[in-house]
Amino acid sequence: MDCNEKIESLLEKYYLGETSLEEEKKLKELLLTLPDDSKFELEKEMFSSYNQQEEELVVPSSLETDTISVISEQSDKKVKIRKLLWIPTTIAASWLLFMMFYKQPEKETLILAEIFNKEQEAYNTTKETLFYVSKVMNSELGKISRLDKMEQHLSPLSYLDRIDTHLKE
Amino acid sequence: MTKKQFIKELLPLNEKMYRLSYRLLNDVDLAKDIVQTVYCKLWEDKNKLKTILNKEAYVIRITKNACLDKIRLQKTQTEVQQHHKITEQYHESSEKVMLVKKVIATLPEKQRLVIQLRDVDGFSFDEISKALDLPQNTIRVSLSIARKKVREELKKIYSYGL
Repeated sequence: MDCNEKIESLLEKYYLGETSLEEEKKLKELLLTLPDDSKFELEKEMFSSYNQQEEELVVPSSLETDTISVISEQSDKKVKIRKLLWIPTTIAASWLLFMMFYKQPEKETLILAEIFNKEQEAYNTTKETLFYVSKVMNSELGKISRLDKMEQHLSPLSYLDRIDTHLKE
Repeated sequence: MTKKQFIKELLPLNEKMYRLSYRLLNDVDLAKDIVQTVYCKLWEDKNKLKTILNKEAYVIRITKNACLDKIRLQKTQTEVQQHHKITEQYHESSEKVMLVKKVIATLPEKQRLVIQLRDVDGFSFDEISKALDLPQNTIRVSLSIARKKVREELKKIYSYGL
């Protein structure tokens, strides 16, 4: 297959949108080596224009360095925020630790004292309550004594049980 | 992901991001801004990047979304800028290149983007598909139509000296 045939077959695929990037690169190379008055002059024009357009759009050289500095700035900002947060956090944590260890004995005494007071109070309250219960019980027991009298009056009726058993026999 | 890893893996994509942004926005400064904004966003979500297998496709999609957001925000401004940039470029380029550019500029937007991203910037079909949110078959069809249109238009211009 000569150069022209190769170009022709590639162009056929190219216009159908079926060429790969490699094939298009190859096609461009082949076309750009042709003289201006070849039968593929139009395509040569198109490809050399695309080539030039690609070269015209120059990615700014500063883009990469600027991007790196933007990323660095952002990551530094995060570190700075972390550092800034670290200071009050450390202070708060130290203060808490200090309070825990320093205030602990005082707190213990306080609790013990509270417990002691509460125990005395509980003892007194219990004593008072029991005294009240016993007083009420004594007064109410008088009322219960009437039940004893009632039981005494009911005891003569026990012979009825005996009659009942004899009747069953 | 460390800063070093991030730079190593993602920084080489800056050219593609820039080219895509430029094609969509037609403004070199805006394209540069978009690339940096996207990198900042990627750095913020760097933990999410670990789970993404095709980072290139992901980056292209994010860049496209950032460009679309920008277009939505500054629609009228961008249109004015686009006009100026295109005119400036025509003056800078040679006559023949200018002619091809002019023909491409007359294509419908989808076809124009497809032909620029493929034939000028060398994007793969997968990348174009991610960038334009279109299936690869549609991209191929649009590309075929665009290429044929450019050829026909150039033929007309050369034949009739229009």
